[in-house]
Amino acid sequence: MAVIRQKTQVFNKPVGVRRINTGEAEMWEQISQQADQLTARAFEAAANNARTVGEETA
Amino acid sequence: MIFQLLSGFMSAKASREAGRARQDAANMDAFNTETEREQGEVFAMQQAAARRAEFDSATEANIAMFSVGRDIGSDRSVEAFLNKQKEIAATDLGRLDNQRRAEASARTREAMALRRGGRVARRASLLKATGTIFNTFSDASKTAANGGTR
Repeated sequence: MAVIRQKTQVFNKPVGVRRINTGEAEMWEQISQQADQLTARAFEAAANNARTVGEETA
Repeated sequence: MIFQLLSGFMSAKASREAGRARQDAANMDAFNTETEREQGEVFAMQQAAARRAEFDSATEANIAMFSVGRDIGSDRSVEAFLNKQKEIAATDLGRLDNQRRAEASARTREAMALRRGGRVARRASLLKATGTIFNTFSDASKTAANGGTR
């Protein structure tokens, strides 16, 4: 019967980290776009109001 | 104008539901990732148990062989040999444990990111729905101001 010698059997390997897009950037971009839209609408409403007031005054 | 309001509300509701569905899907993905992590841990523990059993069996066989015709309790060379074998097996077990921890940590972070993505999708859909409702009202009021013609 021969001597049983231990051999290294385990070697660490990369764990494979997955990159996940949480979509946070897209959400803030959406907020920015909506805020821009709101600004444009508010400006349009104010401009219309000013035009009406101007016409009435004239 | 009624169609304008109806379609606006429908769109807002659809956005909200889409966000909820995205969050549910992300939660399911996170759950699966966590299950994968637990399976990985069980697999690593099984591997460690098998490695330990193999070492124990080899040690027993070696001791049985060395004990034939010599006093292994006082034989320093046998002791050194057995210690070296133990060191090799312990290195393997340590590596298995490190790998298990690294993989579990990666899967935990992955599940967290997936859940976060789901929450963000839900929030984004609510914001979109709010914007749609606001725009609908704004357009409807314009239409009403123009006597419902434009």
